[in-house]
Amino acid sequence: MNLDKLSVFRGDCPVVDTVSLVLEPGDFVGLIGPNGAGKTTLMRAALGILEHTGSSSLSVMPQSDRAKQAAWLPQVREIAWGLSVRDLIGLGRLPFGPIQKNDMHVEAAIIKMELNAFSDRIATQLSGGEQARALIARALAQDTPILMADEPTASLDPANQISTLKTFSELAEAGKGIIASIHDLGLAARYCTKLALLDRGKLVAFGPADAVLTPDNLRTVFSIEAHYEKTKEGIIFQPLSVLKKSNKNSAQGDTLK
Amino acid sequence: MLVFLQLFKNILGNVALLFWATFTYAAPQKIVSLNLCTDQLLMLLADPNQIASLSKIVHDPNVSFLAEKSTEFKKNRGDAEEIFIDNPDLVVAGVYTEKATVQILQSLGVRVEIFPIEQNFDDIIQNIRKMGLLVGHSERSERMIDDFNIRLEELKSGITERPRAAIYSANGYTTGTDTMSGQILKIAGFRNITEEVGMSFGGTLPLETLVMLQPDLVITGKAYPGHSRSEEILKHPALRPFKSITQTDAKWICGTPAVLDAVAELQRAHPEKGLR
Amino acid sequence: MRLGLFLIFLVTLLFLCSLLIGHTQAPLSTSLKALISGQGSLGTVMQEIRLPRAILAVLVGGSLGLSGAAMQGYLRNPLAEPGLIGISGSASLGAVLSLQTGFASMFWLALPLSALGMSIFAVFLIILLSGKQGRSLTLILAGIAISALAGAMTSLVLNLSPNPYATAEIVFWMMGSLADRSFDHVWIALPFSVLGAMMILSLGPALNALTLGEDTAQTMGINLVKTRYALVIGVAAMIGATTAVAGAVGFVGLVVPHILRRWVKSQPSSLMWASMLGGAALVLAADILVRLVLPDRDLKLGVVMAILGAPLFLHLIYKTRAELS
Repeated sequence: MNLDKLSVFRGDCPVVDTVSLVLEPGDFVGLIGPNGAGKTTLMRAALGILEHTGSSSLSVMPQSDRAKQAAWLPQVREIAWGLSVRDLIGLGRLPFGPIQKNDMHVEAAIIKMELNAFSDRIATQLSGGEQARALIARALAQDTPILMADEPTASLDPANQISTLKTFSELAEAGKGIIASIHDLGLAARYCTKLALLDRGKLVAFGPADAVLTPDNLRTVFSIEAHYEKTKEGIIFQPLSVLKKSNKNSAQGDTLK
Repeated sequence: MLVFLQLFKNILGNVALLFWATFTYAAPQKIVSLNLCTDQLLMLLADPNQIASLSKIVHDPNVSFLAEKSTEFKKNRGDAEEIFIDNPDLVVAGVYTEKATVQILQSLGVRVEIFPIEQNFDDIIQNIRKMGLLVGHSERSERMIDDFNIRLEELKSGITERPRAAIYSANGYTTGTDTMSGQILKIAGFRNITEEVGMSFGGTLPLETLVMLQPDLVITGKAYPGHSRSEEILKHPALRPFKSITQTDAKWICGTPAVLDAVAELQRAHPEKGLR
Repeated sequence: MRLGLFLIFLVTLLFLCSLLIGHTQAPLSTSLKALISGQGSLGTVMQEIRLPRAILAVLVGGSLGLSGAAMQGYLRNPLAEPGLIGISGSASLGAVLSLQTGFASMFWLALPLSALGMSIFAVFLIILLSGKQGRSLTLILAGIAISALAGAMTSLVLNLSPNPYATAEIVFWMMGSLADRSFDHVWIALPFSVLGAMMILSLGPALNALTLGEDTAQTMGINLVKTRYALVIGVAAMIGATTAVAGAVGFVGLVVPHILRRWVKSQPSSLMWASMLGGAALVLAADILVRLVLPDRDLKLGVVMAILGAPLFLHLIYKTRAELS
C-alpha cells in the first residue's frame, strides 16, 4: 500500500497532514501517537472511506476490489445482531460472493483465533475479549493482503493483548502487510516490525523502534521520559515519568480530539 | 306508562293547536327554521315575508331540492344566541335538532314547534297540515294535500309486477321499508330486498350478501364531491353485473310533495311504468 | 430452509381460509369450484370480493414485514418499524392528498405514486435524523414527530374535504382495513410493492455486512450510498403502494421480525425473506380475525395489530432502556 501526501481536512484544519508512507508485505507497522494525533483518520482515509486529498493506492480502487485487498477492524466493536460466532466470522467472506458452508478461510480463522469452543455461541453474549477475538477472526477470514486495525488491543487483558499482537506479527511474517494503531508503546516496540509516529497529523518518524522511540521524540511528542532497553527477550520499553508541560504539544494534541 | 303519557300530551297538544288555530290564531310573522325539512315545508307554505331565517344546510343542492329558492332568505347557524337576538315569534325544528338549543330557547320564552320524522306518506300529510296551521295558511296546505293524494293514486295505479330492488349507499348501508326511502321504493312499485333479510329500518348489508341476493335493481346515492372510501363500495366490480341507477338525491330526504317526483323518477326503471 | 417451507405452507393455508370466510356460508368444494369457474353469484363473491381481499392481505403483510426487517437491518435497531416511525402515516397523507385533490383519478398509478412520494420523504428524514449509530432514542423521537405531523395533516385534509364521509375515515387511514377492497386496488398496489420488494431483497449482503457497522461494511465492498437509496425507495414503494389502498397498519414490521429473528439465527438477509412471508401470514390471520370477531363492524386491522404489537413494543423498549436513557 502506498500513501502519497495524504491529507484530511476538518474545515480548514488538517487532521492528517501530507502523510506519505509505504506498507510492504511482511511489515507490521505500529501506528503510534498521542490522543488526537490523527491515527484513526489516517487509516480511514487510506482505506478510502473518508474524503481526502493526496493519494492512497487503496482508495483509487473500485470498492469491490478494495474489499479483496484490505480488511478493516474499527475500534468500536459493533455487533448489531446475535449471530453465531461462525456466521459472524463468515461475514468476512462477503466480498467473494455467496458465503459457503464450511468455508476454509472461516475455519482457518476460527482455529487461528482459538475460537473452536465458541464457534456456535451467540456473538453478542460473549465477553469483551472474546468478541474482540471473534471480530479479528472476521477480518482474518476476509484473507486480504492488507489488514488495518484501530487499537485492536484496547480493553483487552494482558494475555489477550499479547496473543493478538503475536497473531498479527505471525501474519506479517507470512507475508501480509499490517497497520495497527497501538497506545501501549511497549507492546508496539516488541511486536511491530516498524513504528510510524504521528503528531498533530504529521508523520514525525517512521522506521524500526529504536529509530522512532528516541528520547527526543518521546519528549516532544508524548512529553514523557522512558526506559528503553534491547534484551534477548526483546525490547523492553517502560514510560517512567511525565515531563513538565512546558511545551505546547499535549495541549494542542487535545484540541484535535 | 311514560310513553303513553307523552303520546297523550302530544295528541292533546295537536287538538289544542287545531282548536286554537281555527278560531283565534294570529299567524306568526317572524318564523325561524332550524331543520332542513322544516326549511323546505316552510318555503312551500309560508309567505316569504313570514320567514326570518332558515338553517344553513338548505343552501346545499345535494340535500335540498329548494336550494335555489332558499338563496332569497337569511340563514342561521342554529345556535340559541343568534336566534334569540332575532326575536322570532315561532321557531320550527325537527326531532333531531340540538336538544340544548331547543330547551334554552323555550326557557327564554320562545315558542318552538317540533316536527316528527316522517316514516311514511301519511306522516308527510300530517306534517304539511301542521305547518299550514302554524303559518296560518291552512288553505294552502289542504290544497297541497289534495294534489298530493291525487298524484299518489296516479303513480300507484297499474302496477302488478314488483321487481326486487336494493337501496345501497356508502359503507354498504341499505335502507329498509319503514323509512321514507323505503316508502318511495314501495310506492314506485318495487319490493325492497331488505324484506328478505329482515331489516325493517335498514342497516349494513355486506357486499357479499347483496351479490348473493341478486337484486333486479340497485339504487345508489349520488356521489359527493371529494373522495371517500365509504363510497368506493358503490363502484365495486362485484356490483357491475347488476342493473343499477343513481337516484337518491335531495328529493328523497324530507317528507315534502317532492317525494312524488322521486317516485316518478324511480318509476322510469320499472318495467311497467318506465315504458310510458 | 425448513422455516421457509413452513411459512409458505402457513401463508397458503391462511390464504385459503381467508377465501372461505365471509358472510355467505357455502361448502368448501362449492366455494372452490365457484372461485375457479366464476359462475353464478357465488362465483362473483369469490372472484371479485374475497380473492382480491386475500391477495391484498398478502401484499400488505409482505410489504410491512419485509420493510420492518429491512429498516431494522439498516438502522441496526429492532424498534425500527414503518408504522411506528411515521412512514405509513406519511404514505396515508400522500394518498389522502392525492384522493381529495383529484390527482389520484388522473392516471392509474397516481395514487400509489403520491403515497410513495410522501413516504420517501419520511424514510429519508428518519435515516437522516437517526444518524450513524441508529440510536433508539433519536429514532423513536423522530418517529413520534413524523407520525404526529402526518396524522394531523391527514386529519386536516379529511376535515376540509367537501365529502361528508371523509372525516369519519380518519380512523381508516390511521388503522387500516381490507374490507370490500377489489381488484382495482390490487392492481394499484401490486406493481410498486413487487418492485419495492425486489429492490429490498437484493440488499441482503449489505444488511448482513452492516451488522458490523458502517465502516466495516464499506471495507467489505458495500456501497453505503447505493444501499441507502435502494432502501429508501424500496421501503417507500412498498409502504406507499399498500397504504394507499389499505390504510396504515402498524406493528406488523415490529412483531414479525422480532418473532422470526431467532429462527433465522439473526441473519438480516434471511430475516427479510422470513419476515415477508411471516408478515403476509400475520395480516391474513388478522384479517380473518376481524371478520370472525365482529363480522358486521369493519373492525380495523390496526386495532388487532396494536393489541398484539404494543405489549411487545413496550417489552423491547424495556430491554433497550439502558441505551435509551
